[in-house]
Amino acid sequence: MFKARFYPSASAAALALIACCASTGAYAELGGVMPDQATSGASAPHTVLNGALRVRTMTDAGNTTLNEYATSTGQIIAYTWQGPTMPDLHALLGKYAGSYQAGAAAASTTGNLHASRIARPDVIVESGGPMRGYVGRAWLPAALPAGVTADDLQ
Amino acid sequence: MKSALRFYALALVVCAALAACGGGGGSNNSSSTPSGTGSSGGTPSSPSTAGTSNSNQNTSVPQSNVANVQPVTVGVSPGMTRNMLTTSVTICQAGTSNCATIDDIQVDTGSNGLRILASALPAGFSLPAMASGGGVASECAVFGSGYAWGSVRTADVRMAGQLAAAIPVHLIADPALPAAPTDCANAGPAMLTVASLHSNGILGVGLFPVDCGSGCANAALPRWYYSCTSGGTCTASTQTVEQQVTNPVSSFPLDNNGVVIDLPAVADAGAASVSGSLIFGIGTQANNTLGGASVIKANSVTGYVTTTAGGQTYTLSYLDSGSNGFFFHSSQFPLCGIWYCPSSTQAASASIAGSNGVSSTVAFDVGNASTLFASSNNAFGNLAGTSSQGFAWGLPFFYGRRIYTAIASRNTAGGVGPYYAF
Repeated sequence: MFKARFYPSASAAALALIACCASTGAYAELGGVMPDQATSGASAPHTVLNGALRVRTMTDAGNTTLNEYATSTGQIIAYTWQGPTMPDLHALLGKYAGSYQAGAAAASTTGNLHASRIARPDVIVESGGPMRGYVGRAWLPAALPAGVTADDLQ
Repeated sequence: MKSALRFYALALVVCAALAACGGGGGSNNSSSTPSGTGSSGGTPSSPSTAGTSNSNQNTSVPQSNVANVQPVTVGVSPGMTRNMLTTSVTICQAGTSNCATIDDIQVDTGSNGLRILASALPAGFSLPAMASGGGVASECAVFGSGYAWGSVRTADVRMAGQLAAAIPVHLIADPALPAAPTDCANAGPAMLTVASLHSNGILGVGLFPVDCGSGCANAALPRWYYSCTSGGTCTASTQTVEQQVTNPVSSFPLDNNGVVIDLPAVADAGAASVSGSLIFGIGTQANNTLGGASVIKANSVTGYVTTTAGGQTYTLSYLDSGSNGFFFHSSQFPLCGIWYCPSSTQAASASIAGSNGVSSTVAFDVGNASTLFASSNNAFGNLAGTSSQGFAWGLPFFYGRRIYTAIASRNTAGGVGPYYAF
């Protein structure tokens, strides 16, 4: 239930903080399953877009706010974030992290320091904002329910 | 299990004490006032009495006659990156005249702190590392476009007649460091080379005196500061505000409350090159007074202002010389990839509003990006593209304007920062 993250060489204080926040901000990953109930550190899911999506909100270890979106059957299909620290993209992307890394390595960038868009057939990641104001989203384009577009992910 | 419960209880207490897991980033910079911030051992900086009050607008700002005009240019940049505003920065071994001048450093009001590729320093030019825990301080600087991993070192930074003495700077891709920790490397594409940075480094002269703020002093936030041992292990760690990578302007003895970027206008079809000025200080000399500029107060934690355009409101808005276009989501313009490409240049208007209730209406153009990119010009005043969230007023907004960026908690005749004015 609680997915604790342990950094073996962290100091005790840092470990306590990370364990605390990892357990209170437990979330799954793209392609994973959104819990039905509220978990510690995350709001209860509520439906949006006439039930097409479920969304719940949480704060991660870096004090960044994340919205986790799932289909009506609970499959997690998107994350949006906003906050002072970049979220743990690798954890959020789950099994799609490899695809994203491949896209990032191959990307010919726009040359824009403060924004990027890595679009793969299976996952799209947009990341931006100034330092201290990170904002972005990641989603599974093939899993968006009918009638839902990326613009609906706030 | 009993020890685990006690452990968890301790963690809860720690979290409660911090009021928010992670400590929050950047809040309340009034405690990190100008005196000595980032200049450990350097000359006591800033007689400007920022931080004593948020409301006084008439406390006199110390005047200066120190040379404060730094030339900046837009021209050919690595990878044919357009609208890349750059300058040359002189960096010295603290307290000495052993210096190196590094060209092609990107001028960025969207970040804070000086970052230079280790490979751009002359051979044999070394800067002292900074101790952290049982190792040396290092940082994962995360941008929208990727991460820059490097060591934190101490240096004098000189521009125009100004000196930021013994401030923390970021040495990107420092070969003396272990590779970026996994959680850093997973933050996005790597920006560890000239090719990926499109420059030799970044001069962050934005709204804050240091890059992270009190959040990193209070907690070992992920994907910010690390301590790296000689054994090759890097662990997330706290970093005091004084030891965080520092906006050099904030550490000047005078002319330290912000900057003015003054660029000439650019024709519709663009320009091969643009030359302008990065002026240090706001209202400290005859060349940096606010004049009739509107002061648009920014959010004191995030630096955001609000833009309204095309009937839409964008609450995540910022003025960013480090973005190379106007970036905002709109259905009004056709797209070519991520860039807008209307068949003819379109006139648009928007209003930019601050938390002080002041708003300013601005006119801007959206050109055909494909046509612009097909030209050999490097500076474009009407280059625009889409963004999922927010409205970034990138370098095109700076052409033909004087844009003031006031540092948080620093006093100016227009009030206390953070704010933009134009």
